[in-house]
Amino acid sequence: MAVTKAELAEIIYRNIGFSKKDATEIVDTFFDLIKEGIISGEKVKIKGIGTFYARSKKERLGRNPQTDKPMMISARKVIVYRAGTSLKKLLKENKIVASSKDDGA
Amino acid sequence: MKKSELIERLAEKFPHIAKADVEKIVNSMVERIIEALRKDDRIEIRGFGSLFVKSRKGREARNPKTGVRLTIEPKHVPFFKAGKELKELVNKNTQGK
Repeated sequence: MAVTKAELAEIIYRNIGFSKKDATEIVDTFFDLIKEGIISGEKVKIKGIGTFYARSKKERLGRNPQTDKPMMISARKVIVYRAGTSLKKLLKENKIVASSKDDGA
Repeated sequence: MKKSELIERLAEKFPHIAKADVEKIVNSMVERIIEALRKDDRIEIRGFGSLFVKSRKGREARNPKTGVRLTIEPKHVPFFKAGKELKELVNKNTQGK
């Protein structure tokens, strides 16, 4: 099952003991602050998870794969995520990954 | 912005919650996210994006410098796909007037 904001709020509400309202609001605000950081051009580094930031891409010539027509792809920003070393290491050492997928999706 | 600054900013918005508790809350969220990734579960945050693990197959490779053959083990890499809202917001500042 995918982890959602609702589940994170539930954990806070049950394990740490805040009101459901506070728990929900704090989870929302947590992600809003990360979002605001990325949008304002900051590198947001969450130890244990990794770094999020926006990177600018220049305008370039692309091709519509369906019609094969060349077209200009406008300059834009993309969001980059770099996993932290600790997370990469955890996943590398983790052998249970494959097994848990079988009983789920 | 580091995690400590994020906690700081979060605490400012919730003056009735002690900073130590805000820290506990943030850490428990981070822990849950890591735990989910370890179990190969996705994290789906509406408006923000999703985090998930992609599997890479092992393969034979070659060190381009020395030409020595080596096998690369299969591995799992964390991946983030930005949500629609975040993608739009990040482009709003530059494109829209």
